[in-house]
Amino acid sequence: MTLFRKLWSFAYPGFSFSHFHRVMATRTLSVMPLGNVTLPSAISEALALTLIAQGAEAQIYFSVEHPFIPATYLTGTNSQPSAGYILKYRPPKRYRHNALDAQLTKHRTLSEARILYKLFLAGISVPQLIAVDPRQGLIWMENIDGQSLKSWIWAQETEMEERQVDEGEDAQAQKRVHIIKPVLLAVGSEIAKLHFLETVHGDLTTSNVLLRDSSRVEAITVTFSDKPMVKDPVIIDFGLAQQSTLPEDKAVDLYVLERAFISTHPIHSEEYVEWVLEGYVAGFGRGKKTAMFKVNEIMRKLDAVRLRGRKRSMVG
Amino acid sequence: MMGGLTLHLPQFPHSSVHIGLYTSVSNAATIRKELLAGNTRYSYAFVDPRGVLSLAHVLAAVYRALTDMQAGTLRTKTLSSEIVFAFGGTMNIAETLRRFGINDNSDSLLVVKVDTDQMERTNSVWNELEGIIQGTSIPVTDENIEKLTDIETIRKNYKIQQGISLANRSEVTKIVTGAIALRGYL
Amino acid sequence: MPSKQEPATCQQRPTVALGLEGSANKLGVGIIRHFPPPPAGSGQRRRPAEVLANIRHTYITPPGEGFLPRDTANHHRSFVVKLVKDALKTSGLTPHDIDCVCFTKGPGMGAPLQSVAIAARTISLMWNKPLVGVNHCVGHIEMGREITGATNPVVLYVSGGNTQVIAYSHHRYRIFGETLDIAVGNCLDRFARTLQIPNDPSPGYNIELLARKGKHYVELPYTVKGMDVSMSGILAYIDQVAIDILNGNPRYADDEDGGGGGKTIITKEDLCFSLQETIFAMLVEITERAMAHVGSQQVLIVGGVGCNERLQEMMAIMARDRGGQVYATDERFCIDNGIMIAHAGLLAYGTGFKTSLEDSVCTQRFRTDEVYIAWRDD
Repeated sequence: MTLFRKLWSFAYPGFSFSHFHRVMATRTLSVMPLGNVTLPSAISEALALTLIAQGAEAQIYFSVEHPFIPATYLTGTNSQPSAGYILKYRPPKRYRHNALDAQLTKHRTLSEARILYKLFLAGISVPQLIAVDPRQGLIWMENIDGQSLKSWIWAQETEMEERQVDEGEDAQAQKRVHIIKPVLLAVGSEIAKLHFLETVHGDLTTSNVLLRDSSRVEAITVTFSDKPMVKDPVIIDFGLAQQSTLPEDKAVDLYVLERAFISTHPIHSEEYVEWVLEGYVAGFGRGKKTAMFKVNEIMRKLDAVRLRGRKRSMVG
Repeated sequence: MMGGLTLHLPQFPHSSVHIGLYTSVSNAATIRKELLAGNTRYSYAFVDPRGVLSLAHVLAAVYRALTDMQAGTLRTKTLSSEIVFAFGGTMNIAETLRRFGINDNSDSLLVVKVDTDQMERTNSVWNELEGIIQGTSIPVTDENIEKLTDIETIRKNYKIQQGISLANRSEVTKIVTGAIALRGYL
Repeated sequence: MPSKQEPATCQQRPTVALGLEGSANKLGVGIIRHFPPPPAGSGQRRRPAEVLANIRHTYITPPGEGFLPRDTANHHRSFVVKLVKDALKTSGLTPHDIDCVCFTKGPGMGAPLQSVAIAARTISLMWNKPLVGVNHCVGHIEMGREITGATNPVVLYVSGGNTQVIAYSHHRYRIFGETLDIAVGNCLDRFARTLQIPNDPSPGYNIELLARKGKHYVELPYTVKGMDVSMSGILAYIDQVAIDILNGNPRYADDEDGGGGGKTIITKEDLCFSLQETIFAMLVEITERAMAHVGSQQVLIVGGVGCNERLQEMMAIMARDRGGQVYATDERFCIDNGIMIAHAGLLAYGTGFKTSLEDSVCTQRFRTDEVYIAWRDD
């Protein structure tokens, strides 16, 4: 299976079957906006907003300013310095009938906002919901100060590669275990919390998991590096998220993430996926016995989804 | 006496948001009576500070009320009453006004007034309030607001489960901000 | 039976293929000629393929009825010889001039596919020409690319039997999104039956005509899940609305501007309009998602439902807003036809591909991404 995966990922680098709905390689500040799409003027004239991502359905803007708290009042007691704010905008789609478009914008905006809030209340690491305007398709949320899991892994791998000349394959493998594994275990655990709440993300990729420096202090036994390796994963972008109790849907969620690893981190993807799933199983229902039945079911479905690849065979 | 705060929200550049904070209030019952009678001199949002966490909390309610007004979706009769209503997480207007608004036994008050015309009348707002409220105006800061918060009132008002700790103020602010944002949509 | 001729690649000389299509109720026969590519570095442009014959005969059932496999197969059997003869006559060629006999291997309805495959095998044996089995969807895609000139578009393939969003990558037409249950054409055809709309020339076309007269939008379930769509819920819902109306329970418009006054009754034109607006919006949405994912600016619409002008219009608005472009063909090519089979078959034949008699079995389920696209080198 390893060889097959290696060949496959070699043959199709950068390609994935997963359900991406937008291209967002890194959070760059120079994104080309779509033709006729502009924010409602009341907003664009009031705040300095930078377009940082453009998807099929929504635009993501960054704002240094909070929509209603002036800068001088932002750092109150107990609060951390702000990393800025995100405004997600679902513009009208001109090809749709007005009534349908209004209905979809409102429904999807609300659905995403509700899910963000619900997950936050349940203790899952997601951006804070600040304000929502369903009619205009706007969501204000906190910006997460951290890099994506995707770029973090790349950075770690690049650094290790640079040192590889002196060390052997084994030393490299050990390093991955000490540095990358704990983070992926945490990622798996966070996804498990999500699924345990009968919510599926719908677009789980390594770009949709951000790593924030943890405020926790942990004893670090690793002596390979003096950088703090404690990172908190934050899951973002719930634009395609849905409620679902079906183990199949959760398996597909995990499969999408697996495909993302295979296409963007082909060399060690098998190891990485193993660690994510390890964290997932351990973290599901906080490891309670009753939850074990559920998570085993999901793992079984995941095996089936892997065999099937892309869903169904066609009828004529 | 210039104890109050005047702010502008970026999306409403032509509106001034005036916030005042008063302790040792002795005439809450009278104010409430006039308010319910519809006396136009009392067109302010009177909020009981026991249910207020921070300035951020107040501004979340103000922002919600202002954006709803802009969209033409006010649920109450005036912007002032809407601001009080906006604090709540439910659609029950009477209950929210009762929980968050002025009570007969309120001994401190947080007052909000939004002037949606261009006239700079900051002094006038504070003078007016001095005439209405029998109490001591104190600076409107998070420090002062926090001294007046009753955390269990917050828990009750937002129906926060016992399992969730309210010790971390910024986390609680997130809870109430989200509730305010999603009121009517959950 | 091995061919005595060398499998000529069209590097050396022009090649000609006969193509037979019958996976649904359209029987199509086409003859196409491919020209050798210009010498490298000559600066000459590739000469486009030449359509020598493109004949079709459709099995049309009375209003309210769909077409059944056995009757369809009968129809194809009855007409195939005539169509092949007519195609030869139109092209002015003889069996000797044909290089290969192409046919639809799948996907499609079993019996109709079989009947055409039998004809193809027989012709291949009689004329002593190699057989080339073709994937129906690949036929649509390749014909669309040839006719429109779209180089590497995201393809929306929509017909009575298929609904897929496809993008090319590394020698495969990969399926990005598809229907989770029924095809969009199937949804339209079945609704046409509910409304007793005539099947001549096609139920979808008649729905399109009615939709143009529709004014009031009826809210219907909208189901896009990630990159996929689902149609069965919408069909069930709108069938019910239509049946209610036909049973004498009128439905009133819920999109009145201004309100007040008398309520407008929803007509079947309004229903056709609403159905199209909803399902086409779903298709445009998943196409846009695929475009965003692969970073493409081109959309090619193929398949029978691709003839629909409203769908083309909606797709064009979306594409323009992205700074891109839509490509579509007319009914000669978007509706099932034999020429696309000839074309795709000849492309494969040119790389040395052939189908032996043993392998010429039809398959009802034949996924687009199962085919190795050897003739593209991008």
